[in-house]
Amino acid sequence: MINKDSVIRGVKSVTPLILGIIPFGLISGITAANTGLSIGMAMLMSIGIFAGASQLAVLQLLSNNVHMLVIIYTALIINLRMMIYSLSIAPHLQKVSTRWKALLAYSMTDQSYAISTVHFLNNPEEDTKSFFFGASITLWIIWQITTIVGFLMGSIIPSKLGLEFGIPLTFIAILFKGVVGWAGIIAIIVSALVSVLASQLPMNIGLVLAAIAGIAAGTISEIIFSKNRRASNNE
Amino acid sequence: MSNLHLILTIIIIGIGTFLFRFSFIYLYGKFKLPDWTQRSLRYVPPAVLSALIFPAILVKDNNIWISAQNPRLVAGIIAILIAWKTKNLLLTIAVGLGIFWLIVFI
Repeated sequence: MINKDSVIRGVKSVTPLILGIIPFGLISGITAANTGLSIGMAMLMSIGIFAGASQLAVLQLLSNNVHMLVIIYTALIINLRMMIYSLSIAPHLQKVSTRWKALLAYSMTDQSYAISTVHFLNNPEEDTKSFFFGASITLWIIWQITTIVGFLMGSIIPSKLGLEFGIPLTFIAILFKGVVGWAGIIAIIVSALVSVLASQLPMNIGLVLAAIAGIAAGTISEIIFSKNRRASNNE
Repeated sequence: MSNLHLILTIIIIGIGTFLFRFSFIYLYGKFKLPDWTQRSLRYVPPAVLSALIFPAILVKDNNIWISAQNPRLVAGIIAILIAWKTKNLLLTIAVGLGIFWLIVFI
């Protein structure tokens, strides 16, 4: 059973992010058109993969005439972070049926994952399935519509607009939502340093390295801070 | 690339990406995870988001670009401050885009 109020809360939680998603969806449609894809192929990609950054990488590699195995490898490396999300949100979805798990997994994005996980930690009573569904499906619909619109508008929109900047802005907007204490800030800083220094590495390996370094730094800091607190309490 | 190859490429990426997303959501509870993973999971959102944000605002064409001329960096830093102080999603994105376009077009 779906809880309507929870779905609506999920929809509302991601609504402010739409402003940043629209430009990116448009870009993805425009790029697909400019790469010479048919609208059917563009939609197959948008629905079948449903992961913006990897879709843009695929289009770029297609126009460079790269071998298909390289394209597959690159796209999968970019999307590897989804496995970390899957592990992170899994405890909240234990009571959900397998069929729902599959649907929720398919529609999960960076934004719906981050917003929902933080919401579940702060609201343990929430109907997780319904909330997560509301958040993910909203972004899914926006993504498909903007891809089509972008494809049809094609070359009308100048590329100089820098529309893809909307996406890092949505990440910035949700960055501090779930951060608790200094350990979270340390995770952000370590991950930022590693990701920028490792950005020259091929195939987005830097992203995965940085995420792991940031998670480790946050966890270790938490352990150190809690030890210090215990030590000072004992004095 | 032929249409058939393209369809095949998209389907393989689609299935692989789905399996990444589905992996632990499906497997969780079927085996016991060590305690430290539980503790670490809280740091996944800030760490991954940070790793997505900073290269996007600091790196251009494979070079680190720290300068007041870099519109992404300036708009990004202001957006980070707004996000931190207000926690307002819409305001963060709107001001970030506004400042970015202001710098690009002036």
